[in-house]
Amino acid sequence: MIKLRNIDRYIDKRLQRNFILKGIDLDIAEGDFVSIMGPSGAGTSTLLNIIGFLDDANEGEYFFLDEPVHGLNEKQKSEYHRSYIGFVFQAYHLIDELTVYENIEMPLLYRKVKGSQRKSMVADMLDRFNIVAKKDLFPNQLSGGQQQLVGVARALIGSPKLILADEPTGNLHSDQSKEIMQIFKKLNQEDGVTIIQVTHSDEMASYGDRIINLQDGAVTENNPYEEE
Amino acid sequence: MFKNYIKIAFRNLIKNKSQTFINVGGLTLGIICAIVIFLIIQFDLSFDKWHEDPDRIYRVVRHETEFGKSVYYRGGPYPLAEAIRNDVTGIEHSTLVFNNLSNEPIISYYDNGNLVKKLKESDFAFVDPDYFNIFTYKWLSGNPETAIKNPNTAVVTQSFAMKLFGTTDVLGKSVVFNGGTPADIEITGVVKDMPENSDFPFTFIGANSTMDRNGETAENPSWGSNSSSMQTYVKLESGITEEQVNEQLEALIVKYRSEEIAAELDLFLQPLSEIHFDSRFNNYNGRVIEKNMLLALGIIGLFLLIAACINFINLNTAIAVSRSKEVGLRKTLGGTKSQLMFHFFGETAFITLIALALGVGLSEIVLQNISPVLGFSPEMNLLSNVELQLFIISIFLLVTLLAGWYPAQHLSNFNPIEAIRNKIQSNYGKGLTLRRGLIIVQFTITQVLIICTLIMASQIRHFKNQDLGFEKEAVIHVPIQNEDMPILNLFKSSLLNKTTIQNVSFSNTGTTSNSVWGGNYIMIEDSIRHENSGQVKFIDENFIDTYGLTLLAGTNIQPSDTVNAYIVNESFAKEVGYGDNFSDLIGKTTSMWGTEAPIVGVIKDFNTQSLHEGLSPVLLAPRKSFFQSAIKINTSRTKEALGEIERAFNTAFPDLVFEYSFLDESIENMYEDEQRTAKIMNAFTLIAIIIGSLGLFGLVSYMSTTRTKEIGVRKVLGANLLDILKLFGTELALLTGISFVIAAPISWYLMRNWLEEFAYKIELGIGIFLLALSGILLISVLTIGYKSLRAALSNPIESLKSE
Repeated sequence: MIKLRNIDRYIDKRLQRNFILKGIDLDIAEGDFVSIMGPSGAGTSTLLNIIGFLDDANEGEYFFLDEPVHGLNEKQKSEYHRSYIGFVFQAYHLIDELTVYENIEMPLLYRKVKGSQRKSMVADMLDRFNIVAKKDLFPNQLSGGQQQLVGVARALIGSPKLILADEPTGNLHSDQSKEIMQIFKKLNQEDGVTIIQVTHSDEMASYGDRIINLQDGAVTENNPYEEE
Repeated sequence: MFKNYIKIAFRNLIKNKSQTFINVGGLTLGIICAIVIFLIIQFDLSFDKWHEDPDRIYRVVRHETEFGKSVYYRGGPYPLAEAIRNDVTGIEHSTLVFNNLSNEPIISYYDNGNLVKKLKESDFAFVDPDYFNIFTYKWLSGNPETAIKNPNTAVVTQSFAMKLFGTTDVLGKSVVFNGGTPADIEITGVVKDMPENSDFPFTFIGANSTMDRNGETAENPSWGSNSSSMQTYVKLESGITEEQVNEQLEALIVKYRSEEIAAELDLFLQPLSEIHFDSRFNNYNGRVIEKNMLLALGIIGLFLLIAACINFINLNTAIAVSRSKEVGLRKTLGGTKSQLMFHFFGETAFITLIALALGVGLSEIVLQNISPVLGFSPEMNLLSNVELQLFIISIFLLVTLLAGWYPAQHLSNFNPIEAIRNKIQSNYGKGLTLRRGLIIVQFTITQVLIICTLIMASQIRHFKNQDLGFEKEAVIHVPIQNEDMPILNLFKSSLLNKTTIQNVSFSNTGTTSNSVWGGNYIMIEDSIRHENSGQVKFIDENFIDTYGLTLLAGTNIQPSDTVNAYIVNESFAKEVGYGDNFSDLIGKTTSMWGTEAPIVGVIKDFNTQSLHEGLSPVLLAPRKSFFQSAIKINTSRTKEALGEIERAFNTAFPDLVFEYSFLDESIENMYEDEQRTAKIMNAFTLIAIIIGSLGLFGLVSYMSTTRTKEIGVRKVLGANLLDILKLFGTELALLTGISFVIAAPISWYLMRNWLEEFAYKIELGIGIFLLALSGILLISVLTIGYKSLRAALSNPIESLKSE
């Protein structure tokens, strides 16, 4: 599904070129549950952003479903965002002015889904995450875990093939973290959704079936546990 | 989708209440100005458009070269209308319109044989029967074809009939015109009132043949005499051009006068559509507005609207930073750039709609209250006024585009990751950013308006304080008719008996009036002939004392019914080459209007007209030609004096209507136009200041919140209050300075043109500009003072903790 070849991402500063990612080769198949790990500044988030079309590589090739991403324009990227990719953020990033219901509904609006269908899809989602009672509340009326549930629900409503999660549990305590991970695991196993998450926690990483370690912008270990 | 936009827009509006207030409030003000100005312009452009074939109707006007000067007149000779009818081809109809604005006739009517209810009516006209074939009236009764065919007939308007008779059923009733008419005038038709947007507001339209009979025109029956009270209107046959007629008019002068006169005198056609706008000629409405003025008004309206849009752009781009997260998020959720732009446009459109609704509603209220200032009352008629509807729609589109495009473009361009991480900085860059540019534009608009307003105000003050060469206080003018001497003397002596009255004088026009009697004076001395145009005032022996004029040489005139001596003014002495040697002029002979008489006195110059005009040679002479009485009273007992004057007046002139005015007030009224313009400008300036201050306040309060951390850090590092205030102040001072440099020459240029109309004008000194600059600086300081002070005084711990 994802094929990265010799990806470089760098920032030029006068005479010096600072590499954030250097020479990344990575293949991720459909149905994988991958955890990207690495210390702060190792380039984990940048790698995720590049995979999610939010950032562009300076060098190298990126194929998503065998399509070359480096040739896509912004409109096509939006098209992929709508149809294939769901994002989950560490800081939830819900829209403060919208209710829980409206936040979940938003991706459907961009996809021009009809009103009645939208209603039933949002209702399903609320049901699935047990937040029906909270549908008219605004984000600041929810706890962190609940906000992240909404965030996940919003990422899932478009039934994406790929979920990109940047430290989804970074702001949560362990019970809430586990709940989110269970959901990911279930999605991965039952619905075959590909999941790529960035995490600093070995425990969270262990929910996945593959771990990629980044160090100073380069992949140091690919699947360290599988080889054991 | 759209519902979602509206919802977000609405919640955002509620959340940022002060921002909403500034956006909606400023925009509403701008829109009110735009709508009101639109309606004023629409009203002025609609004058006399509804007549049938308006493009074939013309007034015959006159251009002459007098002593090397080009002069334009609206009046023509009395026989012109008929001569055009007889001699000029291509004319469908032609009529004389006689109306003497400076002389209000008195109209009375019979009730059971008794003459009752007199009223003064200046909106009268005596016309040829063709008049009703040229101008379109709606007839309630009477026959347009025959109504004023016969002498002593008249058509009146609905409201005139109601005023005089209390009914519109007045066919066949008789009225008496000016008391002294030998014949009664029969009403033969009633028409609807002319709409307010007409330059022909006549309420009483009589048959011109009546005037012949009554001898009113005996004064000027010839081709040689022109008066603005006699105007000629024609309707051309279709397909005939102005030029074709103008050529024939030239031939008329040759035919009825001479080749030499034709060389110096042109008669030409002025289209009906120009009558409301050409200030070289007046009109019966008394209000001529140059198209340039309308253009200026339109530009002011547009600028105010732009100023309001600038607030919008500046505030929205500033606030955009705090919305960057939302933008980034929407992008990652699949929102395309165009969808986002549409979204932000939607929000702008929503705010614009609110402002429009408020603006339209408030304009209606404004319109109901500004007619005293304007002198007319344009109406909104939102439902039937298609042009207004289109205008409102274009405001909507224009404002949405102007105010919405940049913020929408700016916001939707955000890079999603940076946006989500709140890494977008308010581009508080160096140099000329868009925001600074816009503020300069806005400040420039405001400053131009402030400077213009200040200059107008000081020019009007200059008018009021100007020494006119006579005493204008405590003089009451009471118009009279040129009655017989015994009656006038009775009035005068009964007044002079009273202790409240100091002096009484009769004259043709008083010292200062819009009505000017003039002609060419001739003075021949040692076979050198001095001939030039001058003014003449017919006075009695009390004139000089009553008005407090200063005799520089010679003596006062003796009472006389006919001209037997002249008093001339300083300007006259200079024109005939005597300079300051006034006493040498005594005993010399001069003549005016064919009457030769010795000069007995020289008088200090005084202003005979409004200060738009300079001084000119004036001859004062005794002659019974009295239409104005001037009564000098004891100011401590004004009320008592007025009562006594009225009683004396009613005893002496039972047929006249008592009216009075204070000389100083009527002189002030000569600057009504200027005062009106100044009032309108004041209002617009105030609005520009409010809009500008709103925007500034919004921006500063936003800056102070975004820079809280910076201020905190600076304070921790030892910055004092002044240092922090400087942070806000320097930039503002710089922007004000730059816009002043742009605004000063613009307003200097505009105002120099405006001042050119006046013979007595202020100097455009640097002082007034500096006053304007300090004014706007003060306003800015007051506007930003509170917010920046609060930011500067805030505890750094508080501001740093939140980060």
